Amino acid sequence: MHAQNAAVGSAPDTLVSGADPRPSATRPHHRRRWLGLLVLAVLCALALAASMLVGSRFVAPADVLHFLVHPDPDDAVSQTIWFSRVPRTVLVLVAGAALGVAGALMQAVTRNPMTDPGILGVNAGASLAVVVGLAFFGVTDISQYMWWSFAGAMITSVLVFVIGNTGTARGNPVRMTLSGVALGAVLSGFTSAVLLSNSEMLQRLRGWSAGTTASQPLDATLAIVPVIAAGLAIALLSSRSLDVLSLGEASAVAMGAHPQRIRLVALVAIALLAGGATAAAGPIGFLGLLAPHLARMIVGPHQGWIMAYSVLIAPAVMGFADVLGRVITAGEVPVGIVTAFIGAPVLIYMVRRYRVSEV
Amino acid sequence: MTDIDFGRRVLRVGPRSRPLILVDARSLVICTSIWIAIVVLAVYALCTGSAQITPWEALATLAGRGDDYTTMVVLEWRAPRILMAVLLGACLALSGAIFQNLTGNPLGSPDVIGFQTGSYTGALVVMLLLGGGSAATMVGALTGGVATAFLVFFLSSRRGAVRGVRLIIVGIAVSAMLASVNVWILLTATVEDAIMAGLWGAGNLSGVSWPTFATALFGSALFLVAAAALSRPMRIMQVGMPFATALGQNVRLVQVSAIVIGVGLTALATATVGPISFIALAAPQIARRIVRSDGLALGPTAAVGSMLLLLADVVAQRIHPDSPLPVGIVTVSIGGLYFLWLLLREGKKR
Amino acid sequence: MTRLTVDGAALGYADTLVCEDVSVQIPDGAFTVIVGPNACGKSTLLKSLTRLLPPTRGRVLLDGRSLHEMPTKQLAREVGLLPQGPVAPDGIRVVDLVTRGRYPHQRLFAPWSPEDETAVGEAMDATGIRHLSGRLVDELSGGQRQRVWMAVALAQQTPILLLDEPTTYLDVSHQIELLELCRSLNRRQGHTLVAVLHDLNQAARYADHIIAMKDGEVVATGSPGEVITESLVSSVFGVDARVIPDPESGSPLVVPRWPHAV
Repeated sequence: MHAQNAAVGSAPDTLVSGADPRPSATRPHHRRRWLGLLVLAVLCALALAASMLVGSRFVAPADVLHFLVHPDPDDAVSQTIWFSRVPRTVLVLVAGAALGVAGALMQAVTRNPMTDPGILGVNAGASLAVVVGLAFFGVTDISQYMWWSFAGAMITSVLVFVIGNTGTARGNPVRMTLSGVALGAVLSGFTSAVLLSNSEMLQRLRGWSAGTTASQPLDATLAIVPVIAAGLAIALLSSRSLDVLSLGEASAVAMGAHPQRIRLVALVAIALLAGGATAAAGPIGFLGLLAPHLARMIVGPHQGWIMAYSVLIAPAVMGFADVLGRVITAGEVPVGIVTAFIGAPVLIYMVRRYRVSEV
Repeated sequence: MTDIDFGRRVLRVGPRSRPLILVDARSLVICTSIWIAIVVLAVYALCTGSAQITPWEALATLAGRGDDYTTMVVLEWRAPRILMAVLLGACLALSGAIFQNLTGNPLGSPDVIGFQTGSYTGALVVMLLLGGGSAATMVGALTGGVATAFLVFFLSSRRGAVRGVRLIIVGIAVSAMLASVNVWILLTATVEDAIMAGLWGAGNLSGVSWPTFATALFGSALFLVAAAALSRPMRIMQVGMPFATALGQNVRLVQVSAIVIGVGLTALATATVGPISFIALAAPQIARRIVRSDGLALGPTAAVGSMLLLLADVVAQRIHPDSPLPVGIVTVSIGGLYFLWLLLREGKKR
Repeated sequence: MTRLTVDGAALGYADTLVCEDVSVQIPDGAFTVIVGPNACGKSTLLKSLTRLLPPTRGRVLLDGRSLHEMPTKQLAREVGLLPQGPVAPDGIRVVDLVTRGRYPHQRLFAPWSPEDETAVGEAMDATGIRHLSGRLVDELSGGQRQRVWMAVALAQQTPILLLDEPTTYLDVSHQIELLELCRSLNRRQGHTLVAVLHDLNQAARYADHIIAMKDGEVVATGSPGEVITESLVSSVFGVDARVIPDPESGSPLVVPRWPHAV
């Protein structure tokens, strides 16, 4: 039996480590990483540019540049840019980066590469808190309900962590994933219940609850920036500790780290990031799964680099997904739906390819 | 030779010289108690509500000697609904037990893995895109659920064997995709349609009639018998695939049968009354804890499932007499409570 | 006399080929031990003697019939396997777990019979766990648990018993206990045993017949005295050692050389 647990405990480490265990101090790797970062920055910029240009109507780049500098409230194109494109693009950048890094943190803390805030129900918890705040506590402004979102995300993260990582389930990544999924289902069920009984709320929140970039004005998006920035800062500062944590509980303690403290800090950062992103854009899943996964394939098991890459990869994916959603049908497909369609096959591919040990 | 100590009381059923089966005494007692409780609850459900009827009146009506109004209330409205709750509760619970055994994980339940999401997709397509009625919706839900199950099974099997972990993760992924399809379909509908579809999607036992119950009974009878037959192979699967193969079990056949039966039970329930979550998850675990058995207690599981669903339906109807809730909302709360309990239990085990 | 043979088999998992062309004969009524360094194919060879691992080429035969053509239950009445790291379900009692071993003998409509009861009792007696019969498996120590698994395999009442690294996670005292149990099963009840063991000296003591493997090939077979020589230990295990007669049992004792001053 103990052998079984040991095998399970080591499998996620192997999975998180990815394919490249070489030491980081060698020159060519460093150069390769910076190069990769540059390439991704360009890709991200392209995605954001596409977000500015593409939509129900295509706006010429020249117009974009002109009206960004000289906004003209009387011109329809200028209005489109300032009231639709700019808020959406800023949200893509901010929420995307937040979700990407939240996913990286989650995977590091749980030592499980197949998690993200959506799968583990954190987004569902944040959404429920927002809906409850709006429906029963008369909260209206995003600067207020983003704290509800944060609280919901925090409580859910802690719950999933305790259920999935203690007692008989200790160290079992599948158990934690399942706990998160099932808990997410409970919380979504409650959210549905509230919305079903309140048709006005249902109408207002329909778009948001699918995960979209289109429901917030610019100042609302900017309101969550400080929260996201705080989360990102905490995440980046924890990256060294998380590297140590990935060696396993015992080794981490032997190196003088405090695993529980590291995890708690990480959970706070996850709550800030996922909570902030969900408050503005609604629950969007799979970005937190995809971005760190791709990052890890390129840079290997180094949290700092993974987070830096995720900050660029996630908005890029989200931006392209959002643009895709705008053009793919006559109506608009919310970005949350597009990311599910991109992310789910990736998850299926991941689980088919890696030999996850039988639990 | 002294008798073997089974660690608990065991009854030998059958002729003295050649006993046929061993029945766990505790399991038998628990099962009986739960069924008695179900009958009591059924009587309560039959007699209370918007129309108060005394048990004697109810009995008389069942014997065919009631007045028109009472007959309608008891026989047309309440009785089929109660029986449906008992039947489907058992189906869902058994489906959950089968999947938890198959995936080797107590959380590997069909409502978590996502077969119900596929049923919902099928139903939404029929309800909102094709504009079908209730019979068509049932067909749509059944098709959706079974198709999803096939997809998940196909994507998670490699060289013919399904590994529990892979089944779970693939199920989660497919469920997420289908959930977003559902959201998308709901978005394109009007608010009224969305609410109506949402109420179906929450799981609803209202308006259950005798024909519906009869259909469900016929449909599930075969699956229920098959589930009972599956009990011994499932016991063997518990020792792991290598050992099970060495013990002479055809692991692949058992897995396929388990999936077919498990999906069949869930798909049937979902198609009839919409996706009802958490019975499949919680009932097997609750039954196990009460009976304190070796992880597979199909009789008590079915009983607990029936009890839970009936209880949930009674609560759903009586809690807000003016606007009854869909039963699925109540079962979601059961799920929440189950999690809290799980939390306390796991937290203590530290 | 051999009932179980492997004939020119190629064995592997998924995309990796572990053994290219291996042939062995398992002597009846003897205690055979397969030894070799890590990843040499010991477990693979053992698993090929059951239905778990069909050969991609060649055949595995029991009484002249290919294993994979036999009905599973029939094979399970002849060959029993105790795999590595078996999983016990939560909350199961010892007696219920041992009862699982009766599966090959139980028919659809007769889930329990006096023969089952006798077999379970005998299996528990043989492994000395009768007094633990009603206890939860989770509460037992590693050594006790391994004996329970032995009882499960014994309840199968197979003439041939395969054991995949049965001593690997046990304390020394429990290892010796288990090996003594195996020896008595072989000597007193005539079971044919095939075990994969890590410890070369234990193998030398208890085995009647040794199969030494390296890199997917069988490099030597025979009695411990024939197989365990200084040159074999050196070539197969890469260890420079002396081989002397064990002062207790007389079997070959491998003593690695000590390169330092005494």
